[in-house]
Amino acid sequence: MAQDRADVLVIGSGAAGGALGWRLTELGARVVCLEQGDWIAPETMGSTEPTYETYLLRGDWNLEPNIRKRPEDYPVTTAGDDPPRIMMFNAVGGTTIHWQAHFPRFHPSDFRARTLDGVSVDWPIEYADLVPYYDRNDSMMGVSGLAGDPANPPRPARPTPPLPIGRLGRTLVDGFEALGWHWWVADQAIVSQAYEGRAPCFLHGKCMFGCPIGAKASTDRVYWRPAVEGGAVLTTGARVREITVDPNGRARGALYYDGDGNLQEALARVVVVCCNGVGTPRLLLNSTSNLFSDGLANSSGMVGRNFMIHPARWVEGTFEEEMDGHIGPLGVPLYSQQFYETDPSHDFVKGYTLNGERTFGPLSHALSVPWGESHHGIMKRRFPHAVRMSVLCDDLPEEHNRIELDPELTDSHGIPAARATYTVSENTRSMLDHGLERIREVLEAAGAVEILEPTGTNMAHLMGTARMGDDPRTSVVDAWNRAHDVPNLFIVDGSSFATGSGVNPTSTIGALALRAADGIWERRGDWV
Amino acid sequence: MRRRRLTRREFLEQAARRTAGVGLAGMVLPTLSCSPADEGIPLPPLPLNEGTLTAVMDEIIPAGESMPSASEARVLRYFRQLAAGAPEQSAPPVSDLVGTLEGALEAVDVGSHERFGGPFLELSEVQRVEVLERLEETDPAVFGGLSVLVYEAYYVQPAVWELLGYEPFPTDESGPGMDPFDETALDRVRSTTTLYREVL
Repeated sequence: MAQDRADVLVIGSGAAGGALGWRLTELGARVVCLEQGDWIAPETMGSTEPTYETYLLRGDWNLEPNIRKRPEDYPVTTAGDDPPRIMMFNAVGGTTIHWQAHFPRFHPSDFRARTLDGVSVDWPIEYADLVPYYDRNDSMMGVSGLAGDPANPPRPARPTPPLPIGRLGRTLVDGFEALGWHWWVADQAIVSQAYEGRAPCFLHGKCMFGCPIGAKASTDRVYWRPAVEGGAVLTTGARVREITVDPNGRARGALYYDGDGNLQEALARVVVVCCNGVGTPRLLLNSTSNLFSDGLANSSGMVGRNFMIHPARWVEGTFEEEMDGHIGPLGVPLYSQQFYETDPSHDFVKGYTLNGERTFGPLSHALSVPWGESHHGIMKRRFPHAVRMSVLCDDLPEEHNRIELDPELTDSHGIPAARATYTVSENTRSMLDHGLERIREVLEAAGAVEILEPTGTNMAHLMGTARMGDDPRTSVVDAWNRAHDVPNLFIVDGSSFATGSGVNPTSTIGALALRAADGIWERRGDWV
Repeated sequence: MRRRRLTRREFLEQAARRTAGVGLAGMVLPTLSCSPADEGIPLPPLPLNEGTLTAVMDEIIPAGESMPSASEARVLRYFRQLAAGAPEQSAPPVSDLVGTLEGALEAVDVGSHERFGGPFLELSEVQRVEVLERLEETDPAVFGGLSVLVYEAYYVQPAVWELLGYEPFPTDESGPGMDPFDETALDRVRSTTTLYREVL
């Protein structure tokens, strides 16, 4: 049954949908959001359980939908030489419910990879276009950190001071200082002081399984609560099957299954897809019609292609002294961008960020310790004595890395599952090797007595699968996130990234969403 | 299966009970030596050979370095709780826990008979280790399924945490103290030149 026509229909309520839905509501638009998950009550979060580490193995707070298998999750099959490990959360707030909350910004050069480095593509926008939106998003999300990093353009004072870096952080500082390399205390979307009604971080160290006190930003609290108070309608348990179009090729709305499994249609003047780099191409490819037989907004054939994941590896140093990696915010206490920009002396282009990383508790450490007679001796050497670092690489877009519809598997509503195919490029492999060597240097300089390189997990950030560009033949959306093929359809999430950069994506996803919201509002005369 | 949402009151009551449990377990564990599965509220035994399971888990995590063995740390009781869906156990259920354990124990006994002509329980410690090493090599999925469960059951025990010096800092309590970030640590970095590329 069709419903009243909204001004803007937002599909997905995560990092992008939250920021965009709030902003458009604030501006005066009548916003309806369809979210397949539900509101998450703090007391049900996995972090409240003493056995929270078991969620690394299974259960409804596992980080991977393929393992978690909540009713609102959909399956993602994987393929390629380096199948990605898909992590996301389906709920109001999306993956910001269980993210690390690391909040770096892209560099200006990330928007000009073709011009500066001769690879990949340029974005149709530049860093300066996003700056006011980065700033606004920082303010809304409540970032802790410190301005003044010489590896990044200037930015305003952070809303709250840096979080403690602990013994783990100070140990890494010793390493970076001994080598004379860049490092800086990280921006994190976790408040260190009371902020806008939110409690400061209590340093429990279980953030990945939800922050019940609200110190860690999630868009259900930060954006959707004020949006709903302002009149936005957020419908949960609504799994969108396809975007519908009218005879003129304009988006009409969306067909979705409601919480009772009944098929409904939501109508709107403008439709915005915010389902992340996997869910967005899945929905577009499943939205076929006589006018769009290859999927909606896909005349370029680029929907689903150029999937980027930020290949990363972790290395762990063991120290004689006890460390505190298992407490404190489970984000990134500090980072180095010594090797972020392209360096002609390297055998790769672009670069990477080195992140200090906090860890989980004893169980996660024990899983890499051999069983048997030597077990306790090795375990006691490593826990609590570990300092972990990661290298997070810029990931150049390649068409063969892609999201498709799985030809066989479906979700619980019969909608085709997504299939993610990924192979690490030679450029990225060289970058990873370089970064791993640099991590070993840092840990050794800091005094590590043993260095371990756990098996890579190919963890995936979800980017690039409906990319932004000026040319409709090679991109899906324009500089304002509007689909080239469908004038009232917008695609606003990590899928619109033209390149991936060498930093975590959520800060940029939020900034793009706020900017897209302003663009939609400014062109409201085009709404029909 | 998703848990029923708790009311705030239920949540706080549960958290209080769990906090109390941490202290109790920490007091009694170091003196344990046998029959840990029988402590506390009686739970039905697993429908498999618990004797072999206990012997296997104690080869995977034996006692040593002032740490208890798996059985001393109540790993068997943890499995019984999971299998019974005991309300005091907050860990998420394991799909086919008994089947996973049973399959692994069968593989252990087959290996034991093939290599030494008798059941695992009758082997020496050296022989038991050899059987498990062979299983790990020939069927890593089966062995891994078992060993990860034993690790889990061991390392979620508050008494083990205490012996390791790990404080869990439940989220309904105030967290640990940490020194504020010292901004002077960045003095050298502040004085360096710009590292990012300007784009004109």
